[in-house]
Amino acid sequence: MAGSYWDKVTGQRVSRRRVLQGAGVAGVAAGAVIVVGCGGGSSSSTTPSAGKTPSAGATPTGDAHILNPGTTPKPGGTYNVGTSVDFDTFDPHISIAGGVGYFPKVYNAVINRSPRSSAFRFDDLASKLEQPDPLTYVFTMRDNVMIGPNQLGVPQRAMDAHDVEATFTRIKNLPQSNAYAFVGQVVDSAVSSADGKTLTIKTKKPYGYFFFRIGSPINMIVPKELIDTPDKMKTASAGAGPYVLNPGKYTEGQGSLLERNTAYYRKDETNNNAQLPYIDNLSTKIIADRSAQRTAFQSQQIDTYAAQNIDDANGLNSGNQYVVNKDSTDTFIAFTMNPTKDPWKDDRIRQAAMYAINRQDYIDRVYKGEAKPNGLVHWSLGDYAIPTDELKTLQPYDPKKAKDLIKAATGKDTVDITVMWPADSIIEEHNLHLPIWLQQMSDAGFNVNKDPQAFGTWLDNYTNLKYDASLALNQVYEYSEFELDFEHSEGPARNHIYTIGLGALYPEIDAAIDESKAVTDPAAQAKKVQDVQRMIYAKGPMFLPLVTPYAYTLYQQYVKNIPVNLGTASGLFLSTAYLDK
Amino acid sequence: MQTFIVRRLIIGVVILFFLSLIVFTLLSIVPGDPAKQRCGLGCKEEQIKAIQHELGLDKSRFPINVAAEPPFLEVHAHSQYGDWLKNVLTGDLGESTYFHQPVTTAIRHRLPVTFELMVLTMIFTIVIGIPFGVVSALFRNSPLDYVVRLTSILGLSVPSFWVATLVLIIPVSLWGYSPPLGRVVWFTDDPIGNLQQFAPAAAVLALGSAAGIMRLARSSLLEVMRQDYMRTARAKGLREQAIVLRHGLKNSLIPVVTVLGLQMAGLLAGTIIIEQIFTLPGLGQYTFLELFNKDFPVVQSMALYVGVVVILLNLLVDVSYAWFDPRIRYS
Repeated sequence: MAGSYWDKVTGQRVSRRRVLQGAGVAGVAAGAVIVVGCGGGSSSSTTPSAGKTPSAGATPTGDAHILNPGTTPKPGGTYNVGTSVDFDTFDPHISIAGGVGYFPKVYNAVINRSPRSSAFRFDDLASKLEQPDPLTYVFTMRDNVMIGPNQLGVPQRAMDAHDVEATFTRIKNLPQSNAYAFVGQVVDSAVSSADGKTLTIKTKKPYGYFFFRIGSPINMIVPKELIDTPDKMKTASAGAGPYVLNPGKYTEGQGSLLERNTAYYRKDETNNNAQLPYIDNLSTKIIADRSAQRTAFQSQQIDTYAAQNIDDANGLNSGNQYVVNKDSTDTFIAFTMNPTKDPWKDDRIRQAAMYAINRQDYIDRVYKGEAKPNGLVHWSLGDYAIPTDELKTLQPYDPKKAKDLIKAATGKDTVDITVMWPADSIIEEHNLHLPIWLQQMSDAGFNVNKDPQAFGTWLDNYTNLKYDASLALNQVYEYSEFELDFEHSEGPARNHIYTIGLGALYPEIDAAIDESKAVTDPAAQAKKVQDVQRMIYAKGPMFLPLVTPYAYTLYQQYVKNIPVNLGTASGLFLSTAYLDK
Repeated sequence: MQTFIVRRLIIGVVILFFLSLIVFTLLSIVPGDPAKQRCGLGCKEEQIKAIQHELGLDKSRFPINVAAEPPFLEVHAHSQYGDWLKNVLTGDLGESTYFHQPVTTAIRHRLPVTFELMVLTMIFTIVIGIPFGVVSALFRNSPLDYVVRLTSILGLSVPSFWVATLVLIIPVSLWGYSPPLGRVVWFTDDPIGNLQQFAPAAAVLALGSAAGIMRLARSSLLEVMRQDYMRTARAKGLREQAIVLRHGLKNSLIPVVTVLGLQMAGLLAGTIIIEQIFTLPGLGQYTFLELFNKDFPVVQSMALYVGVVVILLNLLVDVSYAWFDPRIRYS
């Protein structure tokens, strides 16, 4: 639902995501469960708890909470959402755009762990997990996860392990799928038992990001009948998620109308086991223009609005007539250096660039204080990011030190660098970053040869490593794997394109990154990811994320019980929210 | 007349062929691989190749290519342009690489939106532009004339996207009202709702064109009013109303109709912005979106569509001259 994490992503950044997604896309689990304080999901014989719903007003963990709690939920009504990006298809394995945010509302995940905090874990199709060895995951499938009544010809039956196997087999034979990076290359096999009650997944290597990936919207489990007739998913969808999109309910360019799955398996235990979800229909309207979306929200044509920034949110809510939520995001702008080219081969020059950047300047001038500085892993990834206080010592703003390093490396006061960037960015923040960045680099002794390029040219050059340095468009990654891989000698896609990381100069960094991927205990993995970052800082990183802002979402007052700040766990919203009109 | 129309249509087909060739060539030299753009930064080479194959980008661009070695020409049975052209001749405009749906389906959904917007815009343009132009001419140098001329200059100089944004923002700020946004309200389902949705967009789009027509109608009528036959009409003792409407206005409309035809073609560009702002899912919005998505089959087809519309509008304008001025004959 819009206003949740994924809707913000689809509403504002999905079109950018298309060039940045791949391995960076992580998960959402529909109909999820929050297990507060539960340990790692990957340890042996762990049993995820069955589908419960967090109670209204409860505070599951961290910043997550129920916004605008109501009293007794009222079933019914239509929740109207505006989105700037149209659905390309409702096939989760093919989609690259607007559909991504909606898959958890229709389909199911096996299981998902929140990338932001290991305290979150979500289970959907699976009710029990055993891990006899680091490569093997044995899931016991939940009973009675029923496919909703639908007009796509998908029988109303319980989803089982055969559906998961069919989905994985399809993705393995679909290299153009974004899900292929995980299912095709990390997963060795996915086998269901004859009765469909057990699913055994084997990975090729121990893989610490397993639960993020398997719960990703692009890896959603589709009923096997739809796998056999994938064309049906171009404009409609059905599964055992809380909603169904029947044929004729989506019109390209206009929007969609999801209808409640009356057979949805989850009940609200806090409300006499009432059937979830409460809201009958989710209506999505394609409203591309931001001012039009704002207008639609003000005139109550849509029920939620992702504000452009804090000023926009405050301006709209001057009379306190709306419910406002502040949430962290996963987006940032980064500076990339090519450590195989001069002058970036020299550790001191890369470190000088690191000291040249005053992140507080971006926070104050671009985001009016509503952002936080990033380390190599952006701050909103919680345990995986280096704490802000420590960052101040690892990457302090110190232009004098930068100048000294340049002098030591070159014998001169300044150094010439050539930097490319996409000149035709439609992202306002990107355009605002640029002059600040140029000024800071100049202040620290860098003579920047500016090389603005058309987006297509920039992407080609970035892909083919034809650059010395680049200021990149917004990056959006929901877990740390991709960010660390930028520093790997094989680059983020592990095929020697896009970037050459610091590992090209220091093989021990490659080894450390690989080790961090193989740690399957969440807390240990988070610590390892932090340690790898410290190791990279000591050498002078070649990939410098700047800052990540907060996002502001406004809701109409009549929208109640809105679970927020759940990271990718937005599927919860579907089940507990209701309209008090 | 028939010979004239047939000849113009044949020329039109030739123009469309060259137009498609030029558009295809331009698209093929645009930097950036759509497969890479679609696949993203985490994409493996085999994924890129699979997408290129799916999109047909692994085929030669043209049926005939220049080769470095004798016989210096390569002929391809299947090429991107050749296959596209073959399909177009059978009425198949291909499939959108973004929406995974036939382009003809999208056009079928969106054409009524753009058509209604253009028709309403033309109605506003004519209803506002011509009468005020006539009034301005008849009351030349009067305060009324000055007001009309000033208004027309304002209409010409204010950008439509700015006015469109104001049209959305001001009513909602003052009265909490905005036109229906996001879904099309069809005229057959709800005529009032349909007009609430389309009229503001059409009015904004008509602002510039009505202003232009207003000025042109004024100057054209003033020119006609000075003609000898107008003096003769007055000398015959005809009423002023009959002189202006029957003799003056009809004769002054030829340049106005020419410009209206051009404006109609130009509106296709205008709808791109206005449809985006008023969230009307028409062909303008579709073209804009798919251009951004590097959806070449769509962009190619939309260029063809615009070409067809412009050619037909020009033909219509030329044919209409004969109605306005019986002295004009086509052979």
